[in-house]
Formats: sequence, structure tokens, C-alpha cells
Amino acid sequence: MTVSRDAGRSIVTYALGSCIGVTLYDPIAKVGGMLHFMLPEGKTSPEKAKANPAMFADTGIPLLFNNAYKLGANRAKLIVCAAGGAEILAEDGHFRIGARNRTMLRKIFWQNNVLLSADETGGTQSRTVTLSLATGTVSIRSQGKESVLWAPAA
Amino acid sequence: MGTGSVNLTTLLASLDRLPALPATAARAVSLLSKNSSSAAEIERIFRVDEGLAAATLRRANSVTYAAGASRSFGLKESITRLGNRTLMRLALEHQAASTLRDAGKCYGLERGALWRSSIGGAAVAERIAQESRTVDPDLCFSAALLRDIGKLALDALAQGERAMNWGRSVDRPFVDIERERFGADHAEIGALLAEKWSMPAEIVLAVRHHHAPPESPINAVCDIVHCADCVTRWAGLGIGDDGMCHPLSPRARDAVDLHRERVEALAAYGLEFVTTLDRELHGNRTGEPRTTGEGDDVAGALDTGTGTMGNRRKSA
Repeated sequence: MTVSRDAGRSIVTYALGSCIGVTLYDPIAKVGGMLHFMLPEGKTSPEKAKANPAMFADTGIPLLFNNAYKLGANRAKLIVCAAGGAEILAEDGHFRIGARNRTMLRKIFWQNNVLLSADETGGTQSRTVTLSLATGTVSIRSQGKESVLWAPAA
Repeated sequence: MGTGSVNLTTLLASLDRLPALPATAARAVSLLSKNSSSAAEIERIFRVDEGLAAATLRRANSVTYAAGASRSFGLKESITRLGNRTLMRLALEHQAASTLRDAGKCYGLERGALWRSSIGGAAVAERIAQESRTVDPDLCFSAALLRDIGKLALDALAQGERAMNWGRSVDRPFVDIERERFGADHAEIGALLAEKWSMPAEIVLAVRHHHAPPESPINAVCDIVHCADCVTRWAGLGIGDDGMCHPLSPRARDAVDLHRERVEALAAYGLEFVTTLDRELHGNRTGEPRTTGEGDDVAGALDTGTGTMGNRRKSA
């Protein structure tokens, strides 16, 4: 997890598979952050959730928001995006780790009244996500193609 | 995994230079695969690598090997106490990094990603074997560590062409794309490479079948390495242009008793293993988002406790 207000930088996470990258950005305070979580719930590995809360959605997402608040982000201004949550090809529903990550993300956001501004999840492809701390633009690179997930209105 | 008319040896011979293990590892593997090697010969090789010598001493003097011993063992004694499989695992663990760190470029992997995936898969395979109590954990570790060495050769064969350009792959196994493009996939090529590196037959077999474990006869090491490869992908390691396009064999899944809770615990274990090693060896933060660009480094994770996200909706 990384949170910053250095407008000269971007935050990037590489090659998300079933993991999910969550970005948030306050365009007034110019505070942004990104979480790369691997699994939905820390209860499966409580010791690891304590040592590395960013590994799990239910411990990492609140931490991401709280760390952004500490740098001056205003909850009402936050633009929140998500990408990743892919599945292993031909997985027969035994594990559905990508789907469970997506479900947990939405559950936490719904419980906390957070709306996703944009998301691109599912499929089988990997995604690299970049957040520009100057503008809040979130871009995704997948299969060699770069696309903009969210950008401020021109 | 048919290779059609393609001659793998010819395919590898087309490379200007064959991917190779570092000299110390190559000499160690060559000696250890002969049962006639003496402890003195092995000691001469292990002594060259300080980290390897230290790891050998640590292992031989650990509770597992030295319980009840009244004194600590020196390097030669340690080599005598540890079996060949354990010594080979230690040699590969400490020496393969330099070979694997720069590999996987044609898959779009950043530097170090293939090594992290290899060592993470090795740790997961070792853990599964330890829990099964039927297969040698050191053998599984070595086999899983080397499972993707075929990607070293594909890097060279691809001549700079990215894997995403080899064919549309989001809905079919990526090894099919590799076979169409090169006449063989990275598992088959890796097995041939492992043979050339004088690896034991069990490791060659596990490398060859790490995406498709044999159905008959069933091989426990192949099943474990295959499942470890999938768990590693769920841990977010080594995912490149091939994405998640490597199916999990339901038979191997059941044979290894992979279920959701176990997969999640193994993925967390594998990622933690890699993160710790990567931090200790290279100062990297595996899997964490990073800042890029110019300016002072004011970014970074804030190591505070967890909490709610604030302003919780009362009606929710």
C-alpha cells in the first residue's frame, strides 16, 4: 500500500491477476493512494493479516482510506477506482478467488457508502494499474494496450 | 503435450547461447546427481559461496537434523549429514537467482518477477509436501524452483517479440499459443534444459508437466508442482502476458487436497516467503504499489493500525 501527496509522481502496481488494485484520489488536496490486496478476508491467516494488513481486502481497504485521511484527503472528495480480480482459466468454481475479491470489495464499499467511480475487473488477463498524483488519472495496461479507467473532465 | 514434428534439440540448438546455471550450481548439480561424489568434493564447491555454505551449516545444525547432538557440525560434516536432495535444493536456492532474475522479458515480466514467482512456487510446493508427509519437500522445492526455466529459452527464441503478440490467449491455455508459435511450450523446453543441466529425472518430469500433470501413471511430485504453480499465480506472482491462462487440473487439485482455505493460506505463505526474502536480499517491496517519477520520496506505506473507513453509513 502506498499513499502520497507528491504531485510529481505516479503510483503503480504491476501485473494484477486475481488480486485487486484499489486507487483513491482527492483532487483538491492532491492526495492519492493505492492498495494491492491478494485475498478477501484476513481471518484465513490472522497472523499474516496482523503483520501485513494490506494483503487482505477487509484489513487493507480501511487502512488505505485512513492513511489517505492522515495526509489530508477529504472523504467527500475521493475518487475511488478498482481493477484486477481475474480468474484462473477454466476454473470450475472451486476457488473463485478473483470473484470473492470483487465481492468483498463491493461489500466493504456498500457498508461504508463508498461509490466506485470506475472499475475494470474479471476476465483472465493481467493488468498493470497507474495512478497519476498530479491529475488523479487512473490508467490500465493489459495485453500491451493502455486504456484510461478514470480521468478528470477536460 | 505433443510436439508434432518439432525437434526440441534442434530448437534449442538454434540459440546462440543456451541458458545456463551459474558455475557453482552447475558443478554442484553435476556432482550431486552422481551418488559416488565425496563430501570433500562437494565441500570444495559449497565453500566458494559464503551464503550457500552458511545455509548448509544452518540446515545441518537445525533441530530437524541435529536434535540431541552435543556439538555443532562443520561444513564437511554438515554435507555428510544432509542428503543429496537437500544439498541440491540449497545449491539451487542460493544460486538460481542470478539466472532467473532477468528472465521472462518476452512475457512482459519486470526484472526479478520470474525469480520471485519461482522461489514463491518452490516455497509453496515444499509446504504442500511437508504437509503430505509422502513426498520429499526438498525435491518438490527444487522442481518448483526450476519449473519455468523454459521461459529463459523462450526469451531468446522470441528475439524481442512480446508474448502478447503470439496469439489471442484470454480464453485458451497459453501453452497452446506457445506451441503454435514455437512448436513447443516452455514446459517441454524447460524439461530439455533441465536434462542438459543434469537434473535428476524426477525434476525433469515435474518441469515438463507443471502445467499438465500426467493422468497415468499419476506422479505426486508433478501434482504438487502443478498446484504450487497455480497457488503462486493466485498470490499475484509471475503474471505476465500469459495472464491467468494456465488451467488447474481438477484431478491434481483433489489429489493434493487443495481447497479454498488451504489455497488462501498457501498463497499468503508463498507471498510472505518471497516478500521476506526479497526485502532481505534486494531491499524490494514485493507486490506492493510503488511510486514512480521525479521528486522527493514523501510516499510510502504508513504503518498504522487498521480501522474503519470513517463516516460509516448508519443504515448499512
